[in-house]
Amino acid sequence: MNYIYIPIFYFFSSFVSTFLIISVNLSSNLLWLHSQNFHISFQMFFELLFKDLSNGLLFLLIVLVTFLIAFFTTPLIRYFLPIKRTLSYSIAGLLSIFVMLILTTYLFTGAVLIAGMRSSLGFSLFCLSGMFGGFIFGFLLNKVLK
Amino acid sequence: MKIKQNIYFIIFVIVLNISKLSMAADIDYQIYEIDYQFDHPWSSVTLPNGDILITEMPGKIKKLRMKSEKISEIKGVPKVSFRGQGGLSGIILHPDFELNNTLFLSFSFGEKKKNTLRIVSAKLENEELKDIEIIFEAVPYRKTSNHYGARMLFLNDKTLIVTSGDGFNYREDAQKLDNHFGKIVRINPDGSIPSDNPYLDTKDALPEIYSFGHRNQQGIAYDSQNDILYSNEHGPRGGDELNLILKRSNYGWPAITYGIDYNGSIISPFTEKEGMEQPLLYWTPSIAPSDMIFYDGEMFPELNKNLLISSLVPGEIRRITIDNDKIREEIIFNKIKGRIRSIKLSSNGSLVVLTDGPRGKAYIITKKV
Repeated sequence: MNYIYIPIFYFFSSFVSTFLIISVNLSSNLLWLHSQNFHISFQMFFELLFKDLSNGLLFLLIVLVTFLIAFFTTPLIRYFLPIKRTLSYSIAGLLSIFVMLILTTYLFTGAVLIAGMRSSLGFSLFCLSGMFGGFIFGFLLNKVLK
Repeated sequence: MKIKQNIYFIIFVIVLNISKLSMAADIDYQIYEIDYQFDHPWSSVTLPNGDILITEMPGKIKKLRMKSEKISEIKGVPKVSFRGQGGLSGIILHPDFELNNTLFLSFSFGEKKKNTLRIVSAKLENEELKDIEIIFEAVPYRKTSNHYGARMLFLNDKTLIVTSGDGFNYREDAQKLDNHFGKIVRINPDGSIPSDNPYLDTKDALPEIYSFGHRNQQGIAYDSQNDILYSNEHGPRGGDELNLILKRSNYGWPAITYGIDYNGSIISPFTEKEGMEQPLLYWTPSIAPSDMIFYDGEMFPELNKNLLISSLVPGEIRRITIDNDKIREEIIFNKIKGRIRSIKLSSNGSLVVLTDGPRGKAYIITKKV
């Protein structure tokens, strides 16, 4: 019966990761603009974040597909390699976003389609966003599964 | 009653849209399709005898003899990096071509993760390129295969203008003067720097730079009578621009833009800033402007002093009329179907149009006889 919660957890963790990725991407753009003497207020940041989130369907779809593969694969790996559920899904989230970012760049002949990942810091934060999404998924699963 | 009101409203909307962007102006023309499939044609140039040279991105130049319609291949073309948006791109003749047989090629050169835009000069002798010399290389090299710019033209003073794109991943570098990403550069035909280039005295600035803050300038045109330079560039999602190019000017990319990123996120919420030039015209949604000419030929007097812009999406030729501060835009020659990669003016005033892709076509547009 508890299995009906899994899709909800899956969507929720994907939403959280997407939110974080969009926030990091926007922040990197605005930080650069700030360095170019553009005034960025907090109000502007939140307005733009809202706009980016409302235009973020593509990000969400990519994360949904990425997590779907990752979260389906994780139980198989855990069958052979018993790692704690929260940790294993955190690693799955991190690795899946890592692979997704590398693959999209490779597919587009080196062009980075998500500008925020061009710096090492941005790339790492994107991967950590994936890890956090995975952590939430594993954590919530722990609440309903033994 | 309500249906009648709706019909009036629909008619009003249609009239409003037609007045904004006229379709098919009243020009008598005929289109002649060359019976040959070109492999990713990118640009063309008409030789003094009327024959046409067409570049193909994988690294070939085809010569179309206008009298016999035979196509032959030019030998000795330098090796290019055909990948992504890169490959053999622009081709133009030296202003004194009839005296020195010299032409110029732009292309991407190098490895997948270390390549750049390169400009060479070469002599065309008996359908072979000889004495090839590198006259410009954009620095630094890039890891991407996108946004090379690569259009060229000569100004009245016989200096060569080259567009150099932002390399996609390096967009912020378009605002710095220590590199060639997102720049228009100006050099002499031998590669040396003109003594009146605008940033010669600016510390850490590259001396070839003429203007900066560009994205991917795929079209450049010159009103030689009035010494006015125009450029068009691809925006990201929306925000394609037509710019009037002034030396020592900043065109704003990516600090100000009318477009958003391909993934839907905001690149900049700003569209203007002091010290940054505004476009003459911008397109949202994008039309992907691919090439541009300033028409000053004799064949179509009705097009005189107009800019003609070819576009990839959906594949059109747009006529831009600039009358004082008023800019009018029309779609013309709309019988050509497909993504239009290039439009060039030949010496007799006819137009050479190329469509994009592995089975690209060449069309000659002339006056209807």
